[in-house]
Amino acid sequence: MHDASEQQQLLMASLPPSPGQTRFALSIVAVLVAAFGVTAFFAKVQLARVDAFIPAAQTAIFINDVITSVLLFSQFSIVRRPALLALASGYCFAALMVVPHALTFPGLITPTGFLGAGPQTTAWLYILWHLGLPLASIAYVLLSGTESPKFMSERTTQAAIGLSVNMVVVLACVLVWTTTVQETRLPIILDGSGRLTLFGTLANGLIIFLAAFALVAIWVRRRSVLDLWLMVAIVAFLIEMLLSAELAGTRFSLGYYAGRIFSLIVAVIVLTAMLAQTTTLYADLAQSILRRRSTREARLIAMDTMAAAIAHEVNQPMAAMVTNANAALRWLARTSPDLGEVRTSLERIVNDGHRANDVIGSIRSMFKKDVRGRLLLNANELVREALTMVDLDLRNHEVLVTTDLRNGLPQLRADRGQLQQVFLNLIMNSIEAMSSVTGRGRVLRIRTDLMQDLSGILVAIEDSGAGIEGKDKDLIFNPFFTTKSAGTGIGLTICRSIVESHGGDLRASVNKPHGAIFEFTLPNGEL
Amino acid sequence: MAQVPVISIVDDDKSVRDATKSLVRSLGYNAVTFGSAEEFLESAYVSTTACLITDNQMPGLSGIELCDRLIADGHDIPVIFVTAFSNDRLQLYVDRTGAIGYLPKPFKEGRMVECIDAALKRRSGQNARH
Repeated sequence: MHDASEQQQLLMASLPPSPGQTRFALSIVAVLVAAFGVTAFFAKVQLARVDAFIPAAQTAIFINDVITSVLLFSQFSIVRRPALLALASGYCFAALMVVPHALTFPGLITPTGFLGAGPQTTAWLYILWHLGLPLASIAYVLLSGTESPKFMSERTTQAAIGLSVNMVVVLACVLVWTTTVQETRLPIILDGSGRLTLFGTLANGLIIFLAAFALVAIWVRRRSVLDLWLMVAIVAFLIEMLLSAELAGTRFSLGYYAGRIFSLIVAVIVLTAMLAQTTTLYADLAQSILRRRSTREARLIAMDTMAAAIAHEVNQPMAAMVTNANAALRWLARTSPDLGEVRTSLERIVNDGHRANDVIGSIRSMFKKDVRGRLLLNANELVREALTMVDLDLRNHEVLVTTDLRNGLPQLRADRGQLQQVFLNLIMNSIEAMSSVTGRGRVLRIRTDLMQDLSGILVAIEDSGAGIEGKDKDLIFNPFFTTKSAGTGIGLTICRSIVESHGGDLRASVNKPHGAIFEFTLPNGEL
Repeated sequence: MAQVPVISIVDDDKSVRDATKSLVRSLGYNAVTFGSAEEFLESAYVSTTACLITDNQMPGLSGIELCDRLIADGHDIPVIFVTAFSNDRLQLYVDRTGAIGYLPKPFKEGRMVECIDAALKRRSGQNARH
């Protein structure tokens, strides 16, 4: 539809955290650290081997990572920020590595592990799996400065996601092949008694270092709710690494089990935060749509009521004038004309004429005299505001909006409410003009530009609707002229009088190949 | 000698009211004016009015409500509606109650004369039967 700046403001990936959210995240970190403190003491206590634990925990981690990855990919497809693509790929990678890790776990499926695994396969897969999150987080931070390329269309976004997923799958396959078929060529991580070798300790140390680096980097550049919860996830991740790799010593110790539980927590944190955020935002959005709908309706109803009131106010003296004139003719036509009555009728006609003029004068002054309410305004902002207000109508009528808003336009000196009426009326007219269009796109194009002589700005509202017939072209600005089944015919008249009272000009022309163009100019308000 | 019929005019707009009164008088009838439906209902003219010309959109009782009240009270006065907002509801009402008709504001003089003639004809027909 229209540009995504507003949508981006509502996504977790770009929304700044509230103080409450930050406090809550800190309290989670405190709980995690406290839990770590307790388990660290007993990390080496050896517990019974529970074979069901590994597949159960890993399945949960797999599912969580997949969902997190899908959600991040979908946020990327909206926000189009490469940083999100990197993080989503990281979660996707982690999900894929969890599977062979569980399958090759010695004794689960076959005594030495499935897929032709050797004694080092599972340990290697663990290391590689755990390189995923820190590396993806670092990539996320490094890329978070880069804004989405403007040319990125929906199609290229889809392609980027497809490419990333394919690359991650290929990478995972290569790594599984290396760690199973080529297992004997790899350095040894676990020695015969199941303890870490020097190489294993160094590998774990590297992961911990990378994760700590990622944590600090995100902390330095933290901006969004996503950053906040990613940091919490990395804290849990560090605890997992310290417990299961450094403190636990061997498999099936208390530290080992606790490590797996922290691993599960890592997978859950970002997902939970995203789901909670989505729910809250959905509620907020529903609220704001309701609010927006009611403001727009209030404005348009006010316009209709005003038009009806004007019609009525002008109609009364008109009716009186016509009737008085008829009466005067009757008095004159009598066999003995009653000149006194004729005089009274004519005097009344004069008064009614003045009264009608007063009504029109007061309407005119509504748009003309009150210069006090005029502020310096940006035309592009007014366009965006109006589009926001008619967002629902645009969606309901399946109208595609394109904007071509020129940067650096001079400000206008104008009455905000009145100009909003002009924008709303012209846009609503275009939407209505396109409502009967089938078989071709309903396109609303709004363009702002500098006038050729640089004396002001130009706004064009173009539609692909039924257009204006030649004979109507001169009439559409006349009061009460309408081609719509339900219209008062006063909207365009008022629009023109508002634009002219601001020193501008409103014109209609024919759009090629279909539709109408309404174009108005307004003088530079900075002069 | 036949009594000159009294035509009552109800309109909240004074200039329209006075203009209509002048036109009706120029046709040779007696005319009385009222600023609201309530004012007319409280007056003594309810029982002597031969024809009622009323605006529909008014503060207080509308023209339709005034007509309803008259029917409920047993007054069979021919009614001509004048309205700035012609609508289907008014047309239906006219068809249903057998009112003389409704004229848009500003009304065509010829149509008004026809309506008044029709109203008075119906009124005298009724009187003859009594």
